[in-house]
Amino acid sequence: MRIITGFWLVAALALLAACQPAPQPETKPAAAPTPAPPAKTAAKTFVMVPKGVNPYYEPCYQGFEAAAAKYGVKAEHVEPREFQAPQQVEVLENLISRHVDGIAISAVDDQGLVEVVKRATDAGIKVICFDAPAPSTAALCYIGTANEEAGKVGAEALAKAMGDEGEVAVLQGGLAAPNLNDRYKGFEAWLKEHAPKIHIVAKEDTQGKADIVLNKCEALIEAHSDIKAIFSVSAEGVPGAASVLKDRGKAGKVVLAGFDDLPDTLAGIKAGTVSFCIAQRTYKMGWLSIEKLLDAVAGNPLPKQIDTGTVIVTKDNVDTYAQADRADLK
Amino acid sequence: MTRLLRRREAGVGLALLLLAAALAWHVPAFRESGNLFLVSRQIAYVAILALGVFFTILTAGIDLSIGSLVSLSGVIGALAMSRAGVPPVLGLAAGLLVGAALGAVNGGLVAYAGVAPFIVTLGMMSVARGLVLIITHGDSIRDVPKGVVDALNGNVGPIAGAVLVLLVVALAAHLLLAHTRFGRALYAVGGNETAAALSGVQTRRIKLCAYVLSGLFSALVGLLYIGRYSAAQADIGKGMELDGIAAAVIGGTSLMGGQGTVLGVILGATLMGVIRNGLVLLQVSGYWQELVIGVIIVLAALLDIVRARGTRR
Repeated sequence: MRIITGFWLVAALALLAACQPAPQPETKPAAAPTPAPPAKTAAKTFVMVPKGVNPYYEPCYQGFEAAAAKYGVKAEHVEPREFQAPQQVEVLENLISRHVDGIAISAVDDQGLVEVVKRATDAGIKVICFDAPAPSTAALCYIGTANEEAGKVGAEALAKAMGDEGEVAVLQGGLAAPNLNDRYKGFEAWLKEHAPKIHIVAKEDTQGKADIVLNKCEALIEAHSDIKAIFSVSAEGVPGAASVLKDRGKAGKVVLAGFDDLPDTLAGIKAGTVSFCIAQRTYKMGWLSIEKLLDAVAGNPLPKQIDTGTVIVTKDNVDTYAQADRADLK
Repeated sequence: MTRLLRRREAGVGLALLLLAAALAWHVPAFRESGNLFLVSRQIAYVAILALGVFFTILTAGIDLSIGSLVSLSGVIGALAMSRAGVPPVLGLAAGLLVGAALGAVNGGLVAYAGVAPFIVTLGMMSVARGLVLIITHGDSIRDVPKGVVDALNGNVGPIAGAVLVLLVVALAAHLLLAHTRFGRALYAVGGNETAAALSGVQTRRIKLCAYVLSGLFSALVGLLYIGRYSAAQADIGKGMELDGIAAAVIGGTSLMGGQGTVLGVILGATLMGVIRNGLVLLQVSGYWQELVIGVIIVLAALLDIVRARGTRR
């Protein structure tokens, strides 16, 4: 009985593995008589490792894959199970074992990745960062938004939308996230210098979760009846805040803006409930990741940092910005 | 041979053996020494954590706070060594003490106040996570002395230090469970608490100890993690409690209490680790990993029921 069940376990595993499209000749069932060596043929394999599963990364993958198709390399992405260092390190370690040629990481942590990036580099794998940097590691390059600068850009656009005065509440998904802290730093500094009549009355941690955004926004509106604007430095804040404002009949009366061009945020801009959003150039991050990894493989030096910039998306350019953004990457 | 196959661990052991053999044959990268080193180290942390929660499951309890305790004890240990300037040995002891103390709070509430273990430890999961945020404001503690980090992340020859710690801890747990009165009492409490109490076992004290051990093992992982990630990280360990519990269940531990072995728990953690490694080596999308692990957990629980029926007959 037990043996049978043991076999079931294995059979189920084998089945699940077999269900996958076999991307490599070596995983075909007709296993060659001699075990195939790790696929070290002409085409290089580059892998994108995000912080975790999130639709934010989709344009990155698209840019990564489009550039890979252009240059004739193989592109993949492998997601850690949680947005945490242990899971990301685990994925990186497993990729080292697979002998891929290059890895682009959206670093979930800095110090925690030092050892694994060194291990990858020692194994001859080229490692760069996209979207989120890891300056303490041996990663060759960071391709992404200069976040403090982006925070200033956001503050400037917000001040204009607010008429340079009034109360603003800030939403931030995770108070420990360095990229968000940088954005907030830039945001706060710009307002202090250029719009002293705008006061930040609250900074709420939304923990990156949609349900928490709702709760916090409801409480914010109760606590600050004169609030003139809500600004989210992380992606999940704007859609949640928009639904709360709508629910309370304050949509369009309170200025709502923030980072990232999630589909719900863009829909809000079209509907007029969201004033503007700051879109990061995620497609470009993916595209440049391939180009820079190829450079690294060819032995060319890489710049330490490449600022991909941001785009302010309003009702005027909401339909066109994405195409315009990709126009030069072909 | 038959006796070997009749053991609780036979199912998971066999599954692991076949899986490892298939991977070694099919994917040359799997059997490279570099990969085996990395996988064994990945497994060690989960296995230590699983051994801790295993004590509470044996008493028909559960400990959901272990993931948060990993984080909290790491933070306290790191703070003691860095900001408070305490000698490393004492700093590490402080970390362990925090784990054991909060484990004792769990155990006390379960054993003496009679609150359901699920609720007590669910609360503690949140309390410990909250304490981490209050203490660190969400930032990692990075200024741990370099020597301590290196020692905690050291290797002995080709074997990762964490794996050695696991082996020592596992041996100790095995001896405790199989060869002491405390061990027999632990199984007895989980098997039939009333009967255990009637035969003179101090069931409350036994339960309390189980939760203290669980907290202590979590703290051990928290301290080892300082080495692995060169800092005590505020958000570490989230979701890890489920990995630990899953490892124990896959290894044949009964959630009803009273049944399970140290070897089974380690095999369970190893099977999970090898599957995760194998899926990446096989270039299976990350999205699939969770599904596979989920199926294995349910299959393991089914196995437990089938086995229970078999014994009753």
